[in-house]
Amino acid sequence: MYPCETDYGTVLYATSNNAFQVRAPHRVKWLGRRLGKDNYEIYRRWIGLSPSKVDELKGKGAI
Amino acid sequence: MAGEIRPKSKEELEEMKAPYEEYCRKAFDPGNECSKPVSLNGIRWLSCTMYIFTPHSAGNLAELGAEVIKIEIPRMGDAMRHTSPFNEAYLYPLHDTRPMTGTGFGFMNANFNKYYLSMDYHIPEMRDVFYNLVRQSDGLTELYRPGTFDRWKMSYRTLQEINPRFIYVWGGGFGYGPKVFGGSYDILAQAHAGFASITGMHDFMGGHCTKSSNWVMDWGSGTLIAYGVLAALHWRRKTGLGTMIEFSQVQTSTRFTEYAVPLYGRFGIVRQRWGNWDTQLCVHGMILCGKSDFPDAENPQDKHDARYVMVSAFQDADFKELCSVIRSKELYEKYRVCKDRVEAMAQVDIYTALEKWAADKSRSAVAKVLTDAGILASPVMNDREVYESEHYRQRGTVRWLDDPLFGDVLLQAGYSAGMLSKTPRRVNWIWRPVGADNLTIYRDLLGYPTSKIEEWYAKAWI
Repeated sequence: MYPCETDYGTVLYATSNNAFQVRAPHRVKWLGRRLGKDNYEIYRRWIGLSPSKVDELKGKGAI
Repeated sequence: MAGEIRPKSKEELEEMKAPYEEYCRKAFDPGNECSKPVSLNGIRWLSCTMYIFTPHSAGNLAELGAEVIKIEIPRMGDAMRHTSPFNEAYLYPLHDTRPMTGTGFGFMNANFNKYYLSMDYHIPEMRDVFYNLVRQSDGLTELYRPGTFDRWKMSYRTLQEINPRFIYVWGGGFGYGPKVFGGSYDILAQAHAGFASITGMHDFMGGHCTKSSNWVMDWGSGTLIAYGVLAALHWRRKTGLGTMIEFSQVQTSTRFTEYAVPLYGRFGIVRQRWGNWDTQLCVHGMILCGKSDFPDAENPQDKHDARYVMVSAFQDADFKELCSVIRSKELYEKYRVCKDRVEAMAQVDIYTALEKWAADKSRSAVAKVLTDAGILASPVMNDREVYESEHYRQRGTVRWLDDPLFGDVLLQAGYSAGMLSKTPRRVNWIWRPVGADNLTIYRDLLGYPTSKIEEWYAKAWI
């Protein structure tokens, strides 16, 4: 199958056996993303850091 | 200081001060698993399964504390009971009418802690009894050809009407599709879906595609089902609804081919097998040494096989060290960079040099010299050596169980699949004879009178 969202264009992959589950099938949404792609989302939404704080940590190389 | 976690009691302070290893020893406490609770307490699972693949899926749940009821063919039981390595290892009896027939060690590891019920559920007379079990259970694993349970009015579309919270697992070879009627064996999965073609030595090494000796596709698939079941249980907690899993075993083999599918998809390259070496890292393989560690042993596994060492030195600094150990400066000069070493012909060159160096040394000498130099190396150990390994002994990975029926049995499964500190997996009994728990289930759980049970027994319905 081909995943619908990926940074890398079309990639062929083997689906999970548990994809054949009626109500909540297992799935692949993306096959890896570039390093730190979700940093802003996680640090802002889940940790509650401000964007400038995230930038600061990024500048220091801590994240 | 910000972020510091303060102890709330003297005991907690002691715990925090303890060295990490000591903390782990205390937290996991091998040997005392039974004094702790089980995580799947209260889950009742039915298992209409045989061989290894689907029994193992339910066995995983039983090791985690679910009450798994294995339903077997009356007086015969799971076909796997009648298998044993080279026909020599059996435990008796199979059934109370068959004292001279045993259950073979092929049955081992996939059936711990289960309750053993016998029932001929395909006859209409027993259907209501089966439905009564479904009413009181959380789910079922079955392995019959697709449509068989449907014909018997026991498939998900019938059972969800009886119990909407029911989680139904079909586990078999192919699932729907052109090959729907094919059965499944581990070896079929290994062969059919890519795994065997990338296992074993390459053609130029004189190799052939290889079947893994152990039934890796059965064990792997059983574990994958178990996690599918845990996900389904989690989903049911939120929605109150069961589900059906249609688990095709051959897909496990495809899933276990690593990068092979994306590699083919993007670059059109078919993955090749590469034996005891590695296609992505070098040095990262097993080499043959000249001398056995046990030259005088009678057992050929000791005498001849105790000559293999696994070596990993794929990082440039490690490879440099390895080259200095084997005193080959030119090898280092030639393959300084990891990228160069991974090339196929470079690997031939490098491993040849390593085996040449090891040709006059014993396995343990090679492992020791390399380990002392800070390189990851380990003898390739056989099962006797694993048993004698102090590391496994201390962690309880390999241990003796005093089975309530069969006495002392040496075990590894159950304790080698990751440890849970609060709710560890455990093995309470390895198995029981066919129908050993008939009374407990039919009389105590379902409430049928003993006379009825005796009647079914006489007719061989149970």
